[in-house]
Amino acid sequence: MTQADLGESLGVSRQTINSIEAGRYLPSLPLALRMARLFRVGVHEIFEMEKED
Amino acid sequence: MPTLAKNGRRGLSAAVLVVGGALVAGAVWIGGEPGVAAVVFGAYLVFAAIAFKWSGGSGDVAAIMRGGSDERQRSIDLRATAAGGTATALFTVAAAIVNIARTGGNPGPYGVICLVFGASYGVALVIFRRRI
Repeated sequence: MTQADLGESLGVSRQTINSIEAGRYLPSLPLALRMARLFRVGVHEIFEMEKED
Repeated sequence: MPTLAKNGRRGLSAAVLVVGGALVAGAVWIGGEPGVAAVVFGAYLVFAAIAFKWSGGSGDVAAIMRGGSDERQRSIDLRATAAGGTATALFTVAAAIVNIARTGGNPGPYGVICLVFGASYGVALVIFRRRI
């Protein structure tokens, strides 16, 4: 699955998926939940707290 | 050519420029310079054409210009608006202070702009504190 495909599925741009992957942008909770639902995993399996957070 | 882009309206920014250009050109016309008004409106039409072409792209700026941006692009738009507003406010305060020094107490139109900025900021604080 490409970033463009994932963005299309989630209703966001390819650039936004790229920024999330690169750690430059923290998605909103609804977007994180949609992502988790799409991949059929828990949110905590996609995102985790870093020590400085 | 379809005007409805993937997200938002491709012609949104161009329409804003055409309407804004018409208003400015109308003001120039009323001011007694019909030739200058035509040139001003022509310049705005060129800017509108550029905006329409740019809005058809797939980048972040194009999405913001179409008004069909996602949450990250809206965040970029919000931050850019805040940065522009802050720069304008700082410039206006500086200009008001310079005007006060020049005239011995009259900030001129900059004082009114400072007042509008301060009042609208205060109102926005009250509204958003309740909504968010």
